[in-house]
Amino acid sequence: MTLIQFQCKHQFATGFQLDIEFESSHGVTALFGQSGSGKTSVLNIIAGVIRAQEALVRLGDRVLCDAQSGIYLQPERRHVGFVFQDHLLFPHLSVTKNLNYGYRCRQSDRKGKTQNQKRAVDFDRVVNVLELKDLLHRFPRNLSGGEKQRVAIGRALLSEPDLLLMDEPLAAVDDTLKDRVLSYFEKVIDEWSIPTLYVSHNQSEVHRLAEWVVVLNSGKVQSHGKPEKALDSNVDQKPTSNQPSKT
Amino acid sequence: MHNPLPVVFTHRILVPLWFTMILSAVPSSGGQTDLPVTDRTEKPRKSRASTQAISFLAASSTTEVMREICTQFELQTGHKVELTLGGSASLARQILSGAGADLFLSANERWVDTIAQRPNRRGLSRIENRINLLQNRLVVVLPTTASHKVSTLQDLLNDQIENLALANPSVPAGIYAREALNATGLLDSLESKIISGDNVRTTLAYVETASAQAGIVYATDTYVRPEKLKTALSIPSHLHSPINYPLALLRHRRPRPGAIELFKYLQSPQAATIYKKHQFIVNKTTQDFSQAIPHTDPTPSDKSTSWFSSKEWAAVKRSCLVGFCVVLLSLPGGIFLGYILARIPFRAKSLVEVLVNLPLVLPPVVTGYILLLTFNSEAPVGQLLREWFGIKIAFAWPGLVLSAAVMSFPLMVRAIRLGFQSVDPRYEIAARTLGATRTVSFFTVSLPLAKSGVIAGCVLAFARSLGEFGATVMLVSQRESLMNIPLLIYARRDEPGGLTASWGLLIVSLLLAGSALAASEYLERRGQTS
Repeated sequence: MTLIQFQCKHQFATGFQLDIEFESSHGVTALFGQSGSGKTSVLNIIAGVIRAQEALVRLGDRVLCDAQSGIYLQPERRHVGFVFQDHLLFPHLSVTKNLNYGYRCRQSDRKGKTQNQKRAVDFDRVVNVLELKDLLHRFPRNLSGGEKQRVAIGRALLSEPDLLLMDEPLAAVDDTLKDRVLSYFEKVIDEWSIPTLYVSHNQSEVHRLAEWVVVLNSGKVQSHGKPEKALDSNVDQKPTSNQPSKT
Repeated sequence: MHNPLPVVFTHRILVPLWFTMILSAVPSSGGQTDLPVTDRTEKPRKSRASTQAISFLAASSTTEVMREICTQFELQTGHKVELTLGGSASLARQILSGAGADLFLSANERWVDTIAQRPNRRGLSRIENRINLLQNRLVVVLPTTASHKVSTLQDLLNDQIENLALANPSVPAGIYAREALNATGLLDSLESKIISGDNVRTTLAYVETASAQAGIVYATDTYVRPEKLKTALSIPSHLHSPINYPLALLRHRRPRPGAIELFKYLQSPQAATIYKKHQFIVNKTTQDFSQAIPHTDPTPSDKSTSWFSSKEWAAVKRSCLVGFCVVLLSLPGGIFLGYILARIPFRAKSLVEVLVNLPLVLPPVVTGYILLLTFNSEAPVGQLLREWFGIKIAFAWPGLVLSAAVMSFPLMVRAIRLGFQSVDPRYEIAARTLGATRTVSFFTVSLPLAKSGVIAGCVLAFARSLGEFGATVMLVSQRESLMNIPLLIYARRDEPGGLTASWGLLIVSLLLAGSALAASEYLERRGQTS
């Protein structure tokens, strides 16, 4: 079964053109490419942050947007959990409140329909898996980069998404911590098996997490396939892990 | 587990509550809360616009005498009199714009004529009765310290007199003085010496402080400060047109009880003794009114010597109340505009910005004038508000709030806008992807993060409202029951020893402004550390 189907043509005001088409039926799909290849734009279009001129986004049997039939779901109705590069934790809320933000929103959204539905993603389970127990009463400004990213993942998980979008989640994390955070990601993927779209320009991350890779280059799909195959087929312009993170 | 979305769940209740609060905070236009119940019943819908005190507008040259008489009248009859003192021209303009006065004592006949000739329109005052109550004469006054003598008008040419203080040619005292100088052929040669006060009292202040070495004022004004002024010369009355003080009894839609009584009382022998004491010449036609009202001894004059009388206290409370009302009224609009100006691009943005910021750059008096033109009870908008909602804006309590709100709104919007601009818009995007609607994300993320800007906006608007003068003086004018701090200080300027009495107000103003700023600093710092 196709988990995600993505087609899009979009011209940005800067002149940058996006013309991307891909499908994936794998649990973790990586979007791989250099800075400026359009990876983040793809996530923004899926999340509904950018409204593309021509786009078709399907998530399982749900249509998120379809320019032809005029369907365009607001971001809050897409049930897509976004983990941002710079985490964007709400600075005025404690970790607990940050974690529960999405759940509260969905709950007030569901009001009157199915009351007291069991939480699909259990709060305590998330706290355990991500080891957030000691952080719950702190505020984001008192967290380290790795801790922030763990909270951000937890927050996205607890909004009970149908798809997780991770936009270079390790870019703002210290090199020494990357490995640990990455292992948390693996645990999350094992535990909840939520389809994930993982944006990165780091080969080793992609190798470790992804089952399928879509390689992007200047707004176009260059190749796709299993990590070993897709990544090896474009040796000439292989981005390295030493490259400075995207600005 | 805490609820992270308190605002969202309550804002639907909050908004109507907001307006209810404001409406109940606004007192009736006269500022009186102890109105007799009987008079409220006839048209309850419009009770807000009615004042039970007799509204008496009197030329400022009669300040002391009318205060004394009104105090006596109140004691004897139990009616309340709201005495508004000012230049005849400005008082007359108030009546012409529908101020709803009961009595008008003008320092010249022209303005009463103007009111009489006004086409009779619904809701406007017209003159029911009119008499020439008083007469005045002009005198030349010198500072008591002056060494020079003035025994004829020609002596004004004397070199020792550098400045000659006259009232402005727009007020009667100025007109009469110029007539007299013109009749003796001196006006042209004195022209370079003349300094004009904007009313008789200011003119007098010039002489008192010896900024002018001589001045021409009403004989009645010299009574005010005998220790500072000496009368050098009485100007023969044939040199100028007669200085009559016509008293008009006005009739409007809702005549107040006691107006006719006051009209008669002003012509009574009791009043006449007070007039004479203050050097006014009483016209012979006054009637005997002693039968109607039992005589009691006049009360001591109301010149307040204390620093902080009830009047000052009332003005401080009024200013603060106006400030709070302004903040409450402007806040929803301020937040809305601040947000869309900071975040949402739209076509008419610069137009909106110009309109919002206009009061910041326009002279406040012009803003006030525009408001007066829009909201006086003859203008379509003013009429509509009055007929439909019973709200009177010009020369009434809501006018204080409106003028202050218009003047402080740009400051509020500016601060709130800066507050929103300092918040990364991507927080809202994060909230949306987590399932928050646009509204929810606004109330739970953007607004709390912009809190310090919102607080700063409120403090600025509050402080600006406390200090509002220019637009208010146009829209509300100087009415005793509607004076905020600056208006009262300004009005005090025209009273003997008034500026000394304003010390208390100055200190209170400083304290209020200082504590408002300190409060905002504190809240802001607390907001950062929480």
